Amino acid sequence: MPTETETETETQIETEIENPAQTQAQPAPQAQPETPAPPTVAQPCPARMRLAALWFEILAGLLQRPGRAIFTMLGTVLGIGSFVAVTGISATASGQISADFTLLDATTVNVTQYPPPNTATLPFPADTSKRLAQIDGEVAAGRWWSVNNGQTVDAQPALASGEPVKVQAFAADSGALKAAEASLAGGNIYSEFAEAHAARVALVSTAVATQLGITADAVPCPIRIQGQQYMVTGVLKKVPALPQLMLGVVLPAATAQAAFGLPSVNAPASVIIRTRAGAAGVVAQQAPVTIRPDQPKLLTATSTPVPTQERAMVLSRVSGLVAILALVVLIIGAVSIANTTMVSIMERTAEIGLRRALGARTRHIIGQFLGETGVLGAVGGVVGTSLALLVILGVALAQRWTPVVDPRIVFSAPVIAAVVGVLAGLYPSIRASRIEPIEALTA
Amino acid sequence: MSLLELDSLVRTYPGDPPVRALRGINLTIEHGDYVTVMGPSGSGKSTLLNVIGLLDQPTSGVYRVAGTDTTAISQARRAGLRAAAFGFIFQAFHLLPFRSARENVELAGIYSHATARQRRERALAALERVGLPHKANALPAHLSGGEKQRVAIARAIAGGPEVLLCDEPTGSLDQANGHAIMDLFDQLNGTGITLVVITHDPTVGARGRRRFVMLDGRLSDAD
Ligand SMILES: Nc1ncnc2c1ncn2[C@@H]1O[C@H](COP(=O)(O)OP(=O)(O)OP(=O)(O)O)[C@@H](O)[C@H]1O
Ligand SMILES: [Mg+2]
Repeated sequence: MPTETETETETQIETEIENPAQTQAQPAPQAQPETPAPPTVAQPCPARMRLAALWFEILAGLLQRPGRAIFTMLGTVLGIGSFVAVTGISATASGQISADFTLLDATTVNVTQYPPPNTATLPFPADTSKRLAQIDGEVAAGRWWSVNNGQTVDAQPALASGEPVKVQAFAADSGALKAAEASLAGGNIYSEFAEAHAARVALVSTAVATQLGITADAVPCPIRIQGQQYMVTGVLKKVPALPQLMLGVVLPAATAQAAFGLPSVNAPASVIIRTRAGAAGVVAQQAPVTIRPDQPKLLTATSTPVPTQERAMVLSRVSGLVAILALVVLIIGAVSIANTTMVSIMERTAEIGLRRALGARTRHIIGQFLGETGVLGAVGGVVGTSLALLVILGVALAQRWTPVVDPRIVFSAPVIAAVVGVLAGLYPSIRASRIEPIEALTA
Repeated sequence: MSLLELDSLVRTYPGDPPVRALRGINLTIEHGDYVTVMGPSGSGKSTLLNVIGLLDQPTSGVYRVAGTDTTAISQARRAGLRAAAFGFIFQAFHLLPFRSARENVELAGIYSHATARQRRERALAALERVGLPHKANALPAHLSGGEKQRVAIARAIAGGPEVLLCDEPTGSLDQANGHAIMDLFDQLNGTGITLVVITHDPTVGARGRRRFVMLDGRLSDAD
């Protein structure tokens, strides 16, 4: 029968040439001496095709219908492009998130009264710092609040007369300052002795120190707050976890309570706890009962909600969806390649018959059409990846992020696309190779 | 040894009822022969030509090409033999529409491992032989019917085949073009190429040195 599967291997073919009946045959007059081993009438050898010729036929087949080739590619471009774009954008965004997200956020616990108090009150006892020190995993802890109902107070140098500076005033245990990882430009944080005795001591931020004409090496030095004299023991350089303290002056809790009364409803007190890495959850669980064993329900402890983490989770969920969508688009792309190839094979039936008449084997026909779909896929993949890289770059620039792209994805995407193209071409190509030359030529 | 030997060749197309297109053909073709086969439509002429050209396989019987029993060799080897021994010329030309005349002719030899340069040189030489060197870069759409058939002939002879198999080569041409093609065949036959021409046209059939008539799957001498 005309169609046969090609089971014979090249090695078997070589041995058959030794057949004496064939070697006795007349040499073909038109045999071309320059070809390495041209098939001749006398010594038929299997039809062979040069790789360069195969590539030429593949490209010529694609370029004869450039518009169709581009449309066929579109699905692959979109599928691969959206896949690379999504992975790139989420890698870029999560790179940004982990840059934002510091250890400070992960090791902070805040304790507040909840529901919020409706009278001026201080729900935390004076020995809060000491109590919390018992918890395993705690590094430092203390109370803090904004005094004077959150309003500014007048501050001025003790000796000079002049316009007072309006500043925010805060109460903070030395433990709270340590928990907030405060650092000093000069002097020291007030002593526990001063705190216990409600001594009139204070810390000022570098900004306020400048306004008051205090230099960091001049402390301790006196200032006046609301007319009362205080001794500045230190100048705050930075308070990473409580940056608002940099707005003004900080007093010991007992001192502030004596001078300004209990924390007001508008500016309730809270406790800040610094924990060891990974201990925030456990510390938060134990903090209320440790501070107020009599009334633990009064307090709520929260390990700092890390919005960035949630953002990352939302993003990864969204990008998961888009990745699935990209996969669907890629499958549609593959189907469109398969479909167009089927159509083009029907149109090129006569060509297939002609090629068979010129000596093509089924594998040559399969190779040619698989090559066409593979190239379509690969080119679609390269174009899609390039567009995706532009999109990632655009998003990163717009957000002032550093673009992050996994090179493995960039380099494997076109390969994946080529494989998709070849797979899509498998069925049509085999169909093409099964077309009987006699039927193809009479059509 | 003869070039082509057909011995009790039968080709039956399966179906209900099966079509017995060739019913025992005995034919020997020598080097340099000019064979014509005439016969009514459906008598099996094209089937015979396809079997001779190894595009189709006989249901039974033996077919030898230069002594090689073609029914006993692999399909790959048959394809190689087809590329080496036969050039086909069809009524419908079968030129690739998006390729120039030269590129169409260059397709010859593509499955016999010829290099691009060899194929180009042979293509230009073949176009020269059919008298169309000036149309090398023309697309088939811009060629007349006679010119198309000349390009197809150039493609058929470019690979240096032993035998040209022609199925109604003048079927799509007017009389003048048909005669020109027949003259070209005489020339080619003069250079040693063996010709097997199938036709309806008695004037074409008369050109052959060995003339046969096909009737109902059986071959007989025309004279
Ligand atoms: N692939 C096929 N399957 C089944 N039957 C076929 C096939 N090809 C040809 N036939 C039948 O075989 C017989 C011979 O066909 P063939 O094409 O050889 O005739 P022909 O002499 O070339 O006719 P025409 O002059 O019209 O071209 C016809 O009856 C035809 O219907
Ligand atoms: Mg016919």
